Amino acid sequence: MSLPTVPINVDYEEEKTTIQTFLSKFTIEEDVTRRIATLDIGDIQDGLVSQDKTPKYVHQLQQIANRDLLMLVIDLEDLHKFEGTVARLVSRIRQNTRRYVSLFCEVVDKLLPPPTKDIGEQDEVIDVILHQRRERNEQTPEGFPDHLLRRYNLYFKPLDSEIPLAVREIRSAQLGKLITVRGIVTRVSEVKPLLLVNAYTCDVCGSETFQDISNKTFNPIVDCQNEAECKKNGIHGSLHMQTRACRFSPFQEVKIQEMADQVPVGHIPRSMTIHVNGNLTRLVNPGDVVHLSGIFLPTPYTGFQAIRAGLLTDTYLETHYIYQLKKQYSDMEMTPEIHQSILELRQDPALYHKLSQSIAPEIYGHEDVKKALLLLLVGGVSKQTGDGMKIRGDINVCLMGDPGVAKSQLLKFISKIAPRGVYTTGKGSSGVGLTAAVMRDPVTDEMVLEGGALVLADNGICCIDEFDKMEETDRTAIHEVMEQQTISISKAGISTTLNARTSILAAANPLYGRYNTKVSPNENINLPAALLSRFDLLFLILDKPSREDDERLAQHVTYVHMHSRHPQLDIEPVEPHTMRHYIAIARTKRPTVPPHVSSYIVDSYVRLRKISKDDEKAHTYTSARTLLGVLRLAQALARLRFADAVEVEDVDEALRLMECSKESLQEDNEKEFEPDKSATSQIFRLIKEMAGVGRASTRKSKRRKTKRLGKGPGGQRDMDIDSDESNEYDEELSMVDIRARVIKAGYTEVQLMQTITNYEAMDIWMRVANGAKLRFIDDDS
Amino acid sequence: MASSSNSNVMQNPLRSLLDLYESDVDIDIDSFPAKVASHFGEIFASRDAFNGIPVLDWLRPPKYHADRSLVRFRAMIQDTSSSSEIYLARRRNGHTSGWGLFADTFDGRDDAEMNYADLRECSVLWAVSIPGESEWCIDDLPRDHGSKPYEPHQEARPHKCPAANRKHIGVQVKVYENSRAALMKSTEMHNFVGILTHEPLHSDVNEEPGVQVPTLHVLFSRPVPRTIVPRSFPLQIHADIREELISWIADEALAGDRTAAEWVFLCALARVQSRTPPILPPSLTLAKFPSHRDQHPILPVVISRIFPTVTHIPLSLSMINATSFFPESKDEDLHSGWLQVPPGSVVLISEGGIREGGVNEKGIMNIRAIQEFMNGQTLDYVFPYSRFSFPTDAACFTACEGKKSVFFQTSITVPLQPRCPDGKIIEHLYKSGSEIKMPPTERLDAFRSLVGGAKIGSVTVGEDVAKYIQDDFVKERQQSSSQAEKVTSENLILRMTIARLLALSYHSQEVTIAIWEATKKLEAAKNARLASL
Repeated sequence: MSLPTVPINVDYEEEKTTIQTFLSKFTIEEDVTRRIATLDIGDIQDGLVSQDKTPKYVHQLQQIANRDLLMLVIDLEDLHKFEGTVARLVSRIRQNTRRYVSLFCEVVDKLLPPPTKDIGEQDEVIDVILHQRRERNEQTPEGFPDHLLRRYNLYFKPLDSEIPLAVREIRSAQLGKLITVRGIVTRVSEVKPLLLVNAYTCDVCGSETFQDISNKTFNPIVDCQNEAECKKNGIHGSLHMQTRACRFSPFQEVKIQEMADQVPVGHIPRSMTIHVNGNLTRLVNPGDVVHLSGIFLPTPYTGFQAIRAGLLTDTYLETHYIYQLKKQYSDMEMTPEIHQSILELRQDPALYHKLSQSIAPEIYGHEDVKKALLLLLVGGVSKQTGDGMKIRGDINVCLMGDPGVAKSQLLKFISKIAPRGVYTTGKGSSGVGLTAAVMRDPVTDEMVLEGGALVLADNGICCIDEFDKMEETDRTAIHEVMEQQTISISKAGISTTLNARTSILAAANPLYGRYNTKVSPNENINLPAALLSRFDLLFLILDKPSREDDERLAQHVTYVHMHSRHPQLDIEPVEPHTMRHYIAIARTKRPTVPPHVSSYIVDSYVRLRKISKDDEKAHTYTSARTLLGVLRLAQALARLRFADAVEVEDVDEALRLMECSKESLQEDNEKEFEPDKSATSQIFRLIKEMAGVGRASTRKSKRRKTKRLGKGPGGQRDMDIDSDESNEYDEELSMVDIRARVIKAGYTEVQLMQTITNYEAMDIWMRVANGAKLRFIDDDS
Repeated sequence: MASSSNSNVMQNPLRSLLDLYESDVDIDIDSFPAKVASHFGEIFASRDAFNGIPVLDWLRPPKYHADRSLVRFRAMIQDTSSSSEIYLARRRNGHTSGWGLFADTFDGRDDAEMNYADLRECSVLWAVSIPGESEWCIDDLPRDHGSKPYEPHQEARPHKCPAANRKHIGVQVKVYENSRAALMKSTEMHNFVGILTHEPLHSDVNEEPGVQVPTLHVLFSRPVPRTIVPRSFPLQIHADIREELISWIADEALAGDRTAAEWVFLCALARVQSRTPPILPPSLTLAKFPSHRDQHPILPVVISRIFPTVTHIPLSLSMINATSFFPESKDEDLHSGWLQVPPGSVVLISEGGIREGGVNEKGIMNIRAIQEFMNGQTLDYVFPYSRFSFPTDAACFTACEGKKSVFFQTSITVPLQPRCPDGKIIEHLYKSGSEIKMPPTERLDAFRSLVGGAKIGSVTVGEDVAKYIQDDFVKERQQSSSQAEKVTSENLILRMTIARLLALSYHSQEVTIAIWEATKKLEAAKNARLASL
């Protein structure tokens, strides 16, 4: 097969000289830190220490000569460093890789030092044969073909900056070049021996004939090629194949397929044939996500096919380097634009509100539910204590409500936006579907352990619709998942525990389909308390006719049908893609709980316990799980800010969400206790609370009433906030602070101004300092 | 001139291709495929010239045509997963080896001839006859040119066709215009015009090289509209035509039940209006549809006389358990499934053949796929280690014996109420195709234009009507006394969708208050039947 012609004139002899200098001179120049780092490793890996002194490749060549190393990997990054540019040798190698493989091999053959180790017992037959051949080569002039004496495979490792292509991006223009493809391995053939050099012996004269095989098919030689005897005498058909003297290489054919993110919407993923040779065989398994670098080559059709198909050819990639991506690989590539938008998002004071509103933006309302779902996406921090005990960081949420209140849409949205979201229904999934099963593989007839939705969602979110209709056995499994985050299986002689570190988002209908207001919430909910307590948050969403809501809904539906798009929203929703990235970054944070916050949490918990003790008819009760739940939610809130520490505000918000979730259960019978929920009143409470904090700290009073939770005497707690802030004016609050706080809590500027003017009119406060500050007209001073 | 060049091309398409290639001395091999497409596209630009090209279909299968003759093939793209094929775009002798040209001057392999710089790729697709294409659409093509005898077509790769047992042909299609091929997606319909040969299957090294598949080297292609025959909307259609059409469906297929016929008709018109927000076709269950042994109802046949693409899936347990409803990639070959149908199709699932028995895992997956197809108009194609969701656009309804479908949840359920003596019902519903009384030709044409227009038409909702609907909804919510009869948002969404379908069926561009009220009436009639069950 002809090699691609390089348009520039390259003097290959000169190239060989360059290669020779590179191989014999190149040393890794490390900076001090790396040297220290490698020294540590070097001590463990004997023999590597000396590498610092001898050039990298000389050292490797010696190992090859000693038959300790079977593959020589030329790192193009090294060549880049050596030459200081990628424009010369590196680019020529990438353009015309096959040619340079042979050039390098020739140079290596020349440079290969004599072995410092003699043939030993461990060496194989082939080594002995090679050794003998080499000796004979010195005696006879014609000798053996060079590559028959090679005991190594030469590979190129691409530059680190090489961008992996998708299968569909590979064009004929890349033929003969070194390229990198990314994909998922779908099929791996058995390892077969591939004939590289076929050896024959002649029955008549005893001479050996060698034939280079470069194609998949070849015509065996039948006539002895010995010029001196058989050819002269015209003897035919005296050759016999000598398997022992042939050179074989392990060979594997691999199929890779494009990944979901590489396929344009609505297209079918493409696959590609990969040939793996020599030492690179047996490195990939089906299901692996890999970057494969190699030479893109055509295979002409052979035999009968060639006659029909003429010059049309198939193509394959001859692998040179395999890079396995890690298991948790998420197909997220950060682009500068996304980075920019994330930075902008982070600056946004209304971040929490904005992100939560961007969850299923087409579903109206349900602000608190959406906030809870956002926190579920972000999650708390998982901890593993020294003795192996794990504390769950994943937040579990259950949505319950009438049919047709968009529960399923919320679930679907979450399963799409979560990095590893799995959507399933409790009814549709059997024990196998949710947990895991031992099954017989139809192909291999072996027992295999198959993970269900929960195992698949490990490190992700499992959204289970129709949670109430689930089989009892599955629910038991869910118990384990929701607290221990594992699934234990003992079936068919296999006893194992699989990881299922997943958040659960469940949706359930009340008993008998619709929420029955005449019976207690407990009877409506229809889930055992043990399971309920495992949910950090439980929301009840009811479908109640109200003129305002119905009108808005009808308007929405008609609008959609009129314009085939959603009406403009009040806020600009964050793109799901950006949101994924934001959440991914937030999830890397591990916020801690500083002492003063932790004591605040402790007090709140004690108070909640007390309330739940007093309140006999509570439907949920406060347990240690509640405490952990508050912690998780608070951590998630801190993560959302990319903060490293949890703040009191986070805990307040977490407690508020818990409260909301409880209130939603008691909506009907306890309406009278509910505080005024209009935006103005809530903003007022917020500001008043801020004023309370300011006052408490300046007066160095140790006790303060928390407004948000302030229902009984238990709502008092120790304050430990920095009191250094110079609050010279007792009841004056900076408008900047107020605005930041109010907007962060999810209210708009307009609502804030309305509140201020309303309450100003009532003489509750007044704006001072040209509207830059707000002073309470207080009566208790 | 034009006609002579037509016949020249038809007689020896390769020669004309070579002429085109040679006419340009310093030819740019990168732009040549586009040049080919525009050149031949122009020659056959007129309708008559285009219709004059011999047709490749079930009646005129590959064997019927001479090797390397020019044919046109109206097909659905089934599989685009093959990697591109490399061909020598420029040969030493000044020829190209694309479009099957190699064999003219070439006999055997010559490695020395290959220059990597002259290699280009072409896209390889697999296309099949349009699944469920109604016979009257085929009639649009010219009648057979003489009755040349041929052996019945034996399809080499039946697993590539959605309905494997139907008469169909599958062809390997090679598209040299890569920018165009990159846009071609699965289930799209195209008219391919090109040179027909037989070639080994591309990228299939494992199979024995002897397998030859019909291969079409495309010169140019044109997309096929979803109605197959081009239609327009709105048409000035007499209201009688619509009523007559519904009565005809009722009399011929539904034992005289006009209400059921109207629902069937409306649902069959539906298509995806928008995906975000979802305005998808409603799914329909025809309940209380008597089953009759393992016979197929006449309904799909009647529908197919009017609608361009109709797929009938007669469900049975063995079918659910053994056949595939969704495309699945096995050994890098995408096997088709029942639901891989072109946009605009009507899919009728009849459950009369269901008997007692077990459903295996594959069956469960199939049922799930159908449900997803009905609810979300998406179909998952299964690949090793991954699933890809593809948008579909087909109206789907099911006929079942009981009060509701055995497997599926549909948005609408209409119980059938035959208007004929009990003894005759089966006879009516399961008559043979020849017993259908076809309306006169001009009526039939009017029916088809009504349907075709409605399938592509669009309907808007005016501000005042929207206001009316809103008020109507709020009023209804307030009036509803108990929880059970409360109108939910889902009811409203469905009612909106039906109102638009109703407007389409009247070829009205707007939902009017009258149509809205008619929708409510239609719904009330349906609800009354449901209540009486």
